[in-house]
Amino acid sequence: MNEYDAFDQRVADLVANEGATGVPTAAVDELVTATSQVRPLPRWLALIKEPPMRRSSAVAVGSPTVRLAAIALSTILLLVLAGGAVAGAMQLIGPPTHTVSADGDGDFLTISAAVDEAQDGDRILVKPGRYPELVRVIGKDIEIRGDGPAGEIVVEAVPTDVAVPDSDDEEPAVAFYLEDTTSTVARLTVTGPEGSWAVIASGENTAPELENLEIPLVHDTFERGRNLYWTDGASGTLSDSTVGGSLSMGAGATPTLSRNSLNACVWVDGVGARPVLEHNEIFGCEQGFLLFVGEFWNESSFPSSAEIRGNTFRMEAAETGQHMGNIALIVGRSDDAVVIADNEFIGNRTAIAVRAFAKADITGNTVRDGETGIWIEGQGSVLSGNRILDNSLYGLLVHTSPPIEENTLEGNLIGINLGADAQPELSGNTFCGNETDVKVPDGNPTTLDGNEVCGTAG
Amino acid sequence: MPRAKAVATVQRELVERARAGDHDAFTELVRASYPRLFGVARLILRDSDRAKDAVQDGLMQAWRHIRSLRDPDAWDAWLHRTTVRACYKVARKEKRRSLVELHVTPDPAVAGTPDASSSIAERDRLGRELDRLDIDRRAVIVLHFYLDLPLREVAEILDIPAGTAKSRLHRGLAAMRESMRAPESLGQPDPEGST
Repeated sequence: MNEYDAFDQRVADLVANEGATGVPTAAVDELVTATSQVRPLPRWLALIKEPPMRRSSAVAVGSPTVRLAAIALSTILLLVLAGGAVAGAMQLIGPPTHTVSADGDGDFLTISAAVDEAQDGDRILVKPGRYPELVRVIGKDIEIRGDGPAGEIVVEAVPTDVAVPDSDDEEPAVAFYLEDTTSTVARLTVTGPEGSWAVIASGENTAPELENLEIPLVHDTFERGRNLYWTDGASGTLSDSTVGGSLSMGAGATPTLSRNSLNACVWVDGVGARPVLEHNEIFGCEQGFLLFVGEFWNESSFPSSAEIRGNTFRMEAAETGQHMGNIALIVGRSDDAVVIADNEFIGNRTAIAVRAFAKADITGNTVRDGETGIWIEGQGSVLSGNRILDNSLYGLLVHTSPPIEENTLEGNLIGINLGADAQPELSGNTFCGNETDVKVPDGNPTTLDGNEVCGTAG
Repeated sequence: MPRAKAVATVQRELVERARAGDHDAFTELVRASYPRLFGVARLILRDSDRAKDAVQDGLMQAWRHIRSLRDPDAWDAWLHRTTVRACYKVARKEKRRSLVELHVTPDPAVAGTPDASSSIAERDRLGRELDRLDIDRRAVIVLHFYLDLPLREVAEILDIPAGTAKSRLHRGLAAMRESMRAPESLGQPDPEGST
């Protein structure tokens, strides 16, 4: 037993001895009497009054979500009552509505037929059923909405004559093709054969709103460009949806993806693409990454960018993928700094890699329980205010000299590992409980002056 | 381990009954856990009277909020959590920097056990070093060594990241080790403060 273990044993003996003495047995009777005179709170009130807990806590006591839901319930009930009359009146003066039913008890049998008839502002309600067709919406702004449980309203991609940008498919299977439109497509399931596209949005004046869609993973296909594809300047939104497979942002694409569950690979590799990804859960891709911004093969390859905020990245298949080393977020090539802020990276083999021809502003993220936290190869990045915790190899692996400010690095094997030429400015960082705080090559002048060091794990 | 499983089953049933409002079941749970909780509170607060107040408050809160406990198997961890919270509340109310002298009554079960690693005087010294720590570090040391909880579970109870629990443990032990090396000067406050 070494000196440290011996000391720990003495502390353990001390607390065991002191803790076992002097128990006031009379106090137990006092307590029993006191508690017998009060009643437990009702469950809903106890949950509200329970102090906030960590989301990851294994102590199964209430949750902030339940508490907020309980508080909001009465407000919602009042709003529903007040809004009921308003909603009824609105129905009388709502948009022209067309119904689609595969069973024949609607205005149309197919969605396409309804779209052909609809004018700007019309609403198309789709009843439960299976709809194997290509729905083309070009040059008009309408609403296509499922009228029932989304899982029972299935639009299925079929072989088409659509010329998919950057694709060699002769008869690509496509479910929705959207161009020159700001239409809404909501509350549907969209599926198709292996290699099909669920939604293609193409063109600068194309900004569809895609909401509450279920786009399941088909045949474990994570191939680039399938399922959802924005290109040629398309924008719009994808929100509150569940997507499996692949999402791709081609040339000039700038959609906003919010609050989705993405069991998918996300490719941002069109020149000038700059999507916004916020508050999504991203996991499952089997291509060795979860989100990929900008091809990085050489300096002349296409630069892309993105704003990536408040998402959770969790690479469940940590051992899969033949290349790229299993990295959750790769920034391959960017002229503008990719914004990576306030995300959570959990259990990834490498959380973030910024390659040689790229740069990123990496701020306020939590990167934990993986192998390597953040790997920086390119010039021009900034790392500030991140929490890098409990990674089994490196917290940061740095080959250049970015400012590294006010980060917390705790519990990593090596807090920061510097490459041969790396001389970053380290200021205001906190190092605690790492086996080694900073590994510095011989002759490298980098110091920890101006940083807080609270002790190594050993 | 059939006996341990039987004990866990009995406790689970008691918790479920207590959750349904059965005060007798709660009383049985209290009698079984009180010594352990008192030990935790006493070690954290370093004062028997304050520890008694904290445990009373913590168990009263546990009874009042028992219906918020979703998983009966989490009873022990939940109880530890309410006790530690109560300790912090008591500590905040009566913050003081003086050292506390404990009257240590040797436990008959361990009195005859030869202590190869330290004398009684050294153990007293170690106890005073524990006094000097701030409550955050002391709480981690107590939960880890007295309740034998892994650091991850300690972090859950204290509502802090696992890395923070780890660093508080290491910092606390390091501070105690360093102080033990220096000649003792009673009454000298810990630069980091203590409650």
